[in-house]
Amino acid sequence: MREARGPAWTDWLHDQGVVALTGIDTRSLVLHLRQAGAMRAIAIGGEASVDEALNAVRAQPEMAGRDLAAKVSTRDPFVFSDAGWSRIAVVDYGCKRSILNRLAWSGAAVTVYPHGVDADELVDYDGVLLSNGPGDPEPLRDEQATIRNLIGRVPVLGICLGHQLLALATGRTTYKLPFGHRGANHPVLERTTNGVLVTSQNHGFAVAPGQSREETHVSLYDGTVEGLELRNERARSVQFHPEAGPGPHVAWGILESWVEEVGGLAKAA
Amino acid sequence: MPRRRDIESICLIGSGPIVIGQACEFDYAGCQALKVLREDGFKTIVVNSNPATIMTDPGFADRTYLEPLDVEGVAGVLERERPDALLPTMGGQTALNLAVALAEEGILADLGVELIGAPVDVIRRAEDRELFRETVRAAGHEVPASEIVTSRDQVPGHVSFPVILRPAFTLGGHGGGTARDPDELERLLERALGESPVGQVLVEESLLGWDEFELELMRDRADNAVVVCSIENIDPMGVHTGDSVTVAPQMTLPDEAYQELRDAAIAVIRAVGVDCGGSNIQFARERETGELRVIEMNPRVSRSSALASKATGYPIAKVAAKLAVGYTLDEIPNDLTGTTPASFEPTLDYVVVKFPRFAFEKFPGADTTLGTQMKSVGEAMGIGRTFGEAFLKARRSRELDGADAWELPEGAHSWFREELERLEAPAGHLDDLVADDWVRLKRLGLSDAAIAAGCGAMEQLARAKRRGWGVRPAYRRVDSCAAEVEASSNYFYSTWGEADEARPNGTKPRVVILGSGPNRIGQGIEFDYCCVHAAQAFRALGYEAVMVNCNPETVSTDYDTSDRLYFEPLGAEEVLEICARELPAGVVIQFGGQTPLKLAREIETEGWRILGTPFEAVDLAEDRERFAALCERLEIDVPSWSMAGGAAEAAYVAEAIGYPVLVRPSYVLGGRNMQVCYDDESVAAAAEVGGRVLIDRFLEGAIEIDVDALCDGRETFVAAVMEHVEEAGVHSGDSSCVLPAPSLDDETLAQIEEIVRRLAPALGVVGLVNVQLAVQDGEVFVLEANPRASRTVPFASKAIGLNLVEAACRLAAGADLSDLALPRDQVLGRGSSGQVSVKAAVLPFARFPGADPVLGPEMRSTGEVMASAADLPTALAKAERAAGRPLPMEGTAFLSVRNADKPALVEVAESLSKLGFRLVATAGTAKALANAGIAVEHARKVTEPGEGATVVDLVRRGHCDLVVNTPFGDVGARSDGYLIREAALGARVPCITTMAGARAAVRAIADAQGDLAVSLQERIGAQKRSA
Repeated sequence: MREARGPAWTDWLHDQGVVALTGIDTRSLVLHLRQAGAMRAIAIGGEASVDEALNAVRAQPEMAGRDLAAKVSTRDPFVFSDAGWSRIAVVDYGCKRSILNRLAWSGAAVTVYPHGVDADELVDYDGVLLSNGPGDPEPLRDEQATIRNLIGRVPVLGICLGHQLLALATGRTTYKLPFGHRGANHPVLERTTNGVLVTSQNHGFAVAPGQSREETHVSLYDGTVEGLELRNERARSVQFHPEAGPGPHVAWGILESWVEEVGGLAKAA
Repeated sequence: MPRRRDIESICLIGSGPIVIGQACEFDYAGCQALKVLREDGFKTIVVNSNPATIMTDPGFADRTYLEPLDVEGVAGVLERERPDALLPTMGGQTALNLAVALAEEGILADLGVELIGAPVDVIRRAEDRELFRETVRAAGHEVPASEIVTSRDQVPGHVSFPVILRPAFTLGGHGGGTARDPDELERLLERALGESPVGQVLVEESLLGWDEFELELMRDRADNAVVVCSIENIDPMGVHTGDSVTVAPQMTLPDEAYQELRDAAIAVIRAVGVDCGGSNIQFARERETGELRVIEMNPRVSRSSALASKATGYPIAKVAAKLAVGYTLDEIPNDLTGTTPASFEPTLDYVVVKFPRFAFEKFPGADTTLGTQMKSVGEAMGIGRTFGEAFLKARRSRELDGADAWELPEGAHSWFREELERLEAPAGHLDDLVADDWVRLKRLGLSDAAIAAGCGAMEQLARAKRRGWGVRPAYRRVDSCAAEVEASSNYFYSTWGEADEARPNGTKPRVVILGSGPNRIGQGIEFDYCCVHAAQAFRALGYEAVMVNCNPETVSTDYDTSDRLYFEPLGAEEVLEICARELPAGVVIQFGGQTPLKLAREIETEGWRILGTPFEAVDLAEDRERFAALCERLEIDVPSWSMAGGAAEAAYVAEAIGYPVLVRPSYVLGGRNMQVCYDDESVAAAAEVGGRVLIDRFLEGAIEIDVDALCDGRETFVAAVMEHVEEAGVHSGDSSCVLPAPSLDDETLAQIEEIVRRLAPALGVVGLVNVQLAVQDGEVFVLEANPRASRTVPFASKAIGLNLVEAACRLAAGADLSDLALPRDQVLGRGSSGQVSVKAAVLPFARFPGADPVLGPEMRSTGEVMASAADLPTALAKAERAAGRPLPMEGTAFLSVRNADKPALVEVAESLSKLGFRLVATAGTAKALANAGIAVEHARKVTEPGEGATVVDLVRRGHCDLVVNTPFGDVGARSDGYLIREAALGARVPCITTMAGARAAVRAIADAQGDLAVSLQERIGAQKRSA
């Protein structure tokens, strides 16, 4: 574990090309975003006037409508863990390493594929996990088509962006939240058990609520859709991050039971 | 799941008097619980013996009983009220223990009362060491290796030192300790076994040096669990968490390690079975290996949960009360945000630090080493945007009179050391600091005073310079969600170099009410009671009430109490900046004890108006020369007095005044260093303290009287005339006190009232005034006057059924006494209700082995109880029961008094003998009694040569049921008197150290009647009818 302080830390950030801000009034920033909504931003290191900064910000494209997955997805497939009692393929739209870790910990052999993978390459796995990723799900038309092609043929689990893509692929719509859900403390009602999960969340877009029984999880904060289950298609998804990291572990069970379940299904088949 | 419909009435048990380890956090919890239960339509019944609590105010419950918190007391109330349910989780360990006892004796079952919040099996699993260990292990977690013993020979031979001793079922680890070798183990084990009401002690693997964490959890009956807050102790394991400097949220764990704690905590709360309330779970963690041990769990609200509530804004007690009546977490709204449910775990965008406040200076001889037994008497909390800022705010909030000796404990995490090293104040010139420097220094958390001291300048000058650069604090909201969701919170703290948030914009005039800061001996919950009532009163009068305080235990720092709460140190800097923001119509200083008075002059200097009594009156009352001159002009007698500098002059002056005399430093708070002297030697010694001393004639054997009165600047209303049970010389805060005064005749009472009516307007009082007087041989002397709310205000208010603080606030806001439509004072002061009320003090001597447990001019009690009955003996006996030292009805009484008391002892001894007591006395006392024809056995003193058991042996072995021992001027030394008193304390035998106390006790033993509990509401009703 790298200690997040001192010269070793800043040197490492520098090596990785990561911009870090310190000493700013973070609470005022949060209040501003809450009132004005999520927006484009810029961090300036040198001398620049406010006008110059604003111009630079405005020159940036909006988040909505941008295809960002391609920029962060792996280029080539790779095996993350090669042994396990169920075989899981992960479609990487910007996948968090802790999802892969959690899958492997749960007993899955994990192979990761790029965002543009063909559905036919995935159908032989016991299950396919649609990963999280940045930004707006709407422009990812090819990815949605792949999912449409995939579901029904193999069990699918979507997380975060993966959840939104599954929703779009099955005829639902998504929209941009005024300022997103960010944090490790979001309560979600699990309708099947009537229990509350304290979840880790980080997303700016959401699935528009319908009235269907397929909506298995709902946010106790704003009532947005937090989970879906399409029984006939053997597909389900959650908006929050069950792998946590950081955050509470209470939803680990969702990944563990899915890994076990799809492995069992494959063996029964 | 919604509210249970099968319950209509709920009885809530409070925690009784303030003692070390159990303070006003339970008043805060109880008030919150009562509030939500009443909103939900439940009939509420409260039992608590502590009159200074807000929860025992007649308006807070449907029925309020100021009864002793023992099985008999609570059972009596339950029998009368027949509630459907009993809620024991708001009243600390006291209430939990009582609930278990009531269940075990079958009383709850007989009366059909259901225990809610925590059923008996859950309490047992959490509190019984062995059951708890099994439960935790079954849940897959580790507890420290340990053995439960009920005697010495059960301790395993292979035990590896050091080991920790923890007696079962005691407050705040009371009676425990760390033993480093077999000898120490022997000694500590005996005490620990004695302290545990079940004679059970855990001898445990020492985790000295491990990091210590606490988690505050809530769990509902649908098995939902949330973690409200994590708390890290800066002092590692080995120091009681109540004595540790703590920080929330935890600072040093990475997410994965923290989540492990969270998982373990949820596993434990589930295994123990708390499913409709909150719990506090403590962990030890080895810093390098990450090994975890579950230390303990409280299946109830606690000191830590009060801290967590104030730290996060999440109202734990409210939510716990809702869970106890059937709701689930997702159904309960978080009323601080108004938009999120109780299942939304708080997130902090600031840091909170808590500092303990100690009172060792009151207990000379006591061991000041911190260990597993809690010793602090209060705490202060600081909020800042960084750890350093919060730390410095908390540290200065303690208001220490003397030097601050705090040092980062050895073994503390290096992160804390590095952070603290950044906090050095600058050395240099104030003039060299420009705006950026000021912002940087203030962001570190340094006060104007600290920066000024670093630059060798006055605080006021630093403030002026800083303001000159336009550097002012910004105020931020505590909203439990780090601004993530909209919150209507009215709870603020200050920081620097940021944007100000939610400036006040109401149109009502505002009052700023200054609280009393951390609890300490001499200034505790009574003043918080007054501040809370002041807030309520000013709100009712159409003002916005703005509260400033830094004590996380209190009701005043509940955001529900005021229109705006500033959780800030009570320093001139903070208060002046708050005034500059709030632009108040007035500042209220008369309810927070000494703390606000110290700020009054600066507040006035900056042009803010003090509401009610002006500061001038305080000065007039506190300056001895001015006060004596005033009394002389008013023809009011004061004991002769004089000032002296040095031993020789003091002895000379004392001679002139006439012995005995009272010697003290000229500016004295709470009886500090006050001494009664009978000869020039002791006067000279007492005068050695340095500086000028004040020497008063000591009115030996006088009756001491406390008066609380209201004055509008012209007219005076004498509200309560209280008589002390102990004679003059015992601090008024430690003395028992009776209303109405039993030994005053009408003439003397009239004289006292007349004196107060003359004095109050002459001082310029607008509001409350407390006058202490002494009556000696029919002559009345004024000892002192305090033109502010006194410690006795809550007791007096409850005894006479009149809210004195509310009345005082109306006067301060400009009303005349005649506007208040008060009953005639004679009616009240003389107790027409036919009830006698007694206030008794609770002393913490058992916590300070080594200090002499004797009453004297220095106040040492931490809390008080109240009891009322139809006659004085019954009320006295009840008060003693409530104070945890029930008087024996039979057995052996041991008597040993100084020569001067021997004549008076004869009557006491005769009565005891007639009541069937066997009498034992030391030689001198025995001889005096034998001469008076009383049968008495002789026992030898420790220092007396001879055979057989000494007095101390008798007491230790439990052969004594009552001890009367007045000091021979041998206080504190390792003298016979001291050894007797200490033995009595250890053996939990009532030990009376004054003759007046002994007379009262004998009367109570002889004449106490069984009586029916009467609720406060009924008593007030009866009083109103008769008035």
